[in-house]
Amino acid sequence: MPDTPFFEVNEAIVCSGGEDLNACMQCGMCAAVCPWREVESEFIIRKVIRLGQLGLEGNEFEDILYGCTTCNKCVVNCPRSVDIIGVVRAMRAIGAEMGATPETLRAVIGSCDSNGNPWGEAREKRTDWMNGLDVPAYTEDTEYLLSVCCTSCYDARSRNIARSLVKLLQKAGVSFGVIGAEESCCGESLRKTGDESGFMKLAEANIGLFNGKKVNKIITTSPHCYHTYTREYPELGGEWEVIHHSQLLAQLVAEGRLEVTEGFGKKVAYHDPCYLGRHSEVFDEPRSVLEGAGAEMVEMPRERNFSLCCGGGGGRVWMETSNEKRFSVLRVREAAEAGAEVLATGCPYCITLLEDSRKTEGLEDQLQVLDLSEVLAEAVG
Amino acid sequence: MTAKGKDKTAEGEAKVAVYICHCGGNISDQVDVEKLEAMAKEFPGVTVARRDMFMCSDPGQNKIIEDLKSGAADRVVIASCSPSLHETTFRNAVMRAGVNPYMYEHANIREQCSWVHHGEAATRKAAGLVAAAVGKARHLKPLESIRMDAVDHVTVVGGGISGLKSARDLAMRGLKVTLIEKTPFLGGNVAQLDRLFPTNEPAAELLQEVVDEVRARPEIEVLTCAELTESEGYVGNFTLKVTRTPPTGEEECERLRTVEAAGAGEGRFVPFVGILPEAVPATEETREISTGAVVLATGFRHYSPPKGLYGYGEHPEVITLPDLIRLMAEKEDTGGMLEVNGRPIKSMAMIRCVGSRQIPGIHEPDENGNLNEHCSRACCTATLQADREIKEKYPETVIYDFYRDIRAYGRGHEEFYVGASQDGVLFLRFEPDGPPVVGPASDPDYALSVMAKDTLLSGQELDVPVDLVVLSVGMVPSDVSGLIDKMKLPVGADRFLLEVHPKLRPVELANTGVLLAGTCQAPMDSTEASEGATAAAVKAAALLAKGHVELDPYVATVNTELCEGTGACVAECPHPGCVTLVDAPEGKGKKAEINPALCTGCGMCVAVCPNVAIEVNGWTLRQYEAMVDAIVALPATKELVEA
Repeated sequence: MPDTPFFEVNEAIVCSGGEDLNACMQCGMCAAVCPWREVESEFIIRKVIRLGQLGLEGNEFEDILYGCTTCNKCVVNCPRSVDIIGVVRAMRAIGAEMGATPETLRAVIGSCDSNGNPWGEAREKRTDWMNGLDVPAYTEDTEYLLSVCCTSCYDARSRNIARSLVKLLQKAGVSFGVIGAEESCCGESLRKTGDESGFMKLAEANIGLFNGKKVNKIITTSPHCYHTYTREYPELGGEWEVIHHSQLLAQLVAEGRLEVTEGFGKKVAYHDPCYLGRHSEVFDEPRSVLEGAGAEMVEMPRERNFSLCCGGGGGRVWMETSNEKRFSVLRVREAAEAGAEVLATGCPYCITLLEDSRKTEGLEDQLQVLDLSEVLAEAVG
Repeated sequence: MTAKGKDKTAEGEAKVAVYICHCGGNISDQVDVEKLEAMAKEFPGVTVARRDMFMCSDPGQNKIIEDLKSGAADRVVIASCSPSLHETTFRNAVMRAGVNPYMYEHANIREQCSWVHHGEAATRKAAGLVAAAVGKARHLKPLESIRMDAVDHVTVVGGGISGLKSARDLAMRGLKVTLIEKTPFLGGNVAQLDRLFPTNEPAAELLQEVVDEVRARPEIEVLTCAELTESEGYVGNFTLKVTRTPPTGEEECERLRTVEAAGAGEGRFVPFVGILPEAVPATEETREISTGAVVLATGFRHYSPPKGLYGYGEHPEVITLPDLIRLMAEKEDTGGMLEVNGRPIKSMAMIRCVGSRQIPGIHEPDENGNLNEHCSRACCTATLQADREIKEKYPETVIYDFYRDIRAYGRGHEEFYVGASQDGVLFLRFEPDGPPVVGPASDPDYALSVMAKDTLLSGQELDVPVDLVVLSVGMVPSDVSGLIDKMKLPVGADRFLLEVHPKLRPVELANTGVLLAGTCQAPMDSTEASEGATAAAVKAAALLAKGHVELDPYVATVNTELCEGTGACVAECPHPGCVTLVDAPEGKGKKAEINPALCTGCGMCVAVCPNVAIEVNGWTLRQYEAMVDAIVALPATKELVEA
């Protein structure tokens, strides 16, 4: 039986934020550059859009509708600059209304709603990462608010990123402080899962909180928070000077406020996080931090705009991906082949996934995975 | 060079210089050019023989000029590539040396030799070609190009946008123009449009502006209801007969009534009719026009789909794109859904490449066995423009646009494609051998169903319910078979008129003085047609600007001493009026006389003359004999190559 196009679905996607759905001319550039081409997968982003245009069935499967990691590689390569991520987000929003949200993501959405973080942890434990450190509280006299990503607040491995950063900021004499338990998740990944109302709730809470505290400048530890604060909060009333920690550290090194005494003598490959690189076009500062730390840089074949996604964006950090389908596995192999001893990056999601793949690939003795703040902290001594 | 050669040359005899080109290895890789040079020095009459890596280069040409100026030679033979490439180059070099440019003969030892033969065979053939050229060169005589007075008047055939623009541009150049239009109206196919892409300018405004100017210019005479019935003559001096006939055709009379009903009067644009520049003639009349050049702007007609193609002629809801354009232009309402014949169009289908890009074995030829293999070029953007207009005026009508490829190639055209996409037009790609099928609706809420395979979803079958199907029909040339016969015009395999060369002479026909403007040449949009029209006007003006035309001297000449007026030549000549018998002075009977402007140098007259009284300049019988003699005189192959 031939199918009949259902144009109402097309219109619903357009109305839900996928305005560019019909601008797609189906050239297939997106599918050709998509990281899912690197592994065995049914996910073909061109086809996802095609089915959406015609309102046909086929996108309702979890691996399809929630396959996209929102890495932005398709968008930067699209000859018509179609906002493909916007289309995916709109489709997921419609899917959410129809109850298609995967089980694992429902738990995340629930936790964001009740705890203000996606990790199912209590709000008051948000400051546990600071234990043993003397981290100042944010006041009106403080220059920067240090906004620590939920992942680095709760995840044992990730906490060290925030701790390293605090040590560096203190050493350089930067005026900063934290708000702590009142903060909520930025909502970036939640929004990408299609939970628009959940995102709005988090955004309004944070914007109200930050504005109430008269915040002017923010340091983020995650490119996802950075992206949300710079690209999504302004139109909701949150306008501050936002800086990713790699940018601030690069400044501090350049100004001579962090003296490298030890020197980081290892071979380091830098992995561009999607949301710092392709989404926010911050490519050079992380590299200058690593170079400033005295690292011997080695480049992997895919870098900057061509960087390979770790697989953790778009909500997929919370979803199960079998080992042979993980992009992070390919990435740690690539780093090892490039002769790197350290795979450095600047995103807590990337750290989580790359750390995991380093272990499953048996590269524990050969390759370290570190945040660039950790590399610099070691070099500064 | 060659004291020896010089010694051979008796005083007063021709002194031939031979130049052998290596063509950077193209020739010298196969032809033994050193041996060829040595042989050439031995050919009778040769005083100079030289080689060069590239004879067409400045140093190569300078060798020719130096040898001619120094008196070492008085004529040249150049052995190189095809004369179609560099004949003019070398002729000019000879002229720059102060020598008559026809004291030059060419041997093609590349295309006819090194590119098709190898090794010894190539050298042997090159020797033959050079020997023959030298043989002929010894008998060359200086020739002068033929100069004929030219009439400062151009006739433009066709009153569409191309003809109008050509006429206007010619008049601006100061030439007198007669514009002939078959129908009572000016404007052609553009008058059948509403707005023109890429600017969305109203066709009415454009035509009104151009026609106003054409009518205001005293240099331009407009003849409507007129057809070219006879054509004689040559560039600079054509005589045309033009017949004006009172209109009798049903469509024309209907349009005349429309103009009357509109109360528009003469010179005012009437939508989907055009502009009536003057009253139609009451009686048939024929007049003779003396003209220097003819610009053909005979245009195109839309492909007419046969009954049953995509349901055309079977379902009233299947129409063509020109139908849709008119239908939309005549509607005043906007908002909601497009309505056609009282039926709200919930969704509609565009089907592209109807009557264009037809493929042998897949598409059916028409009743005359013709396939339209060409792309009609304008329909892609025209369809996108219609898509956008519908989406803009009737946003609730859903459009499914079935295409093979979208070729929005022109400046500003891609924007229509992007815009239509963003407006929500759904594009569905089909393969030529799997086109959509229009049939009765499977959903009773709709008029029709379009059954298609979405090649972008691995051929998934779709049943698309629609209330309207629009066929994006292509262009086919206007029927100008009468003109083609009368003027012996070259026609391409696509049945459009064929230019001499797409780049070197893009608006010229092989018939000197006859030029092409617009869609009689190939499918074009109105922008491109206007460009072609301007180019044709410029070319016509350039031909006539000097007041005379210069023609190649390779024409027949009559030796009146030998001519006995048998008339065999007159009977054989394929060009009417070229050879005539005239009374010789002093009652010496009839003698043949050639009109050099009409002669193409074909030599038919030479072949039939019983008295050998006619020769073709530059190709005389004596010259042919010398070529044959030179070839015969060559040593046998084996000796030649081993020598």
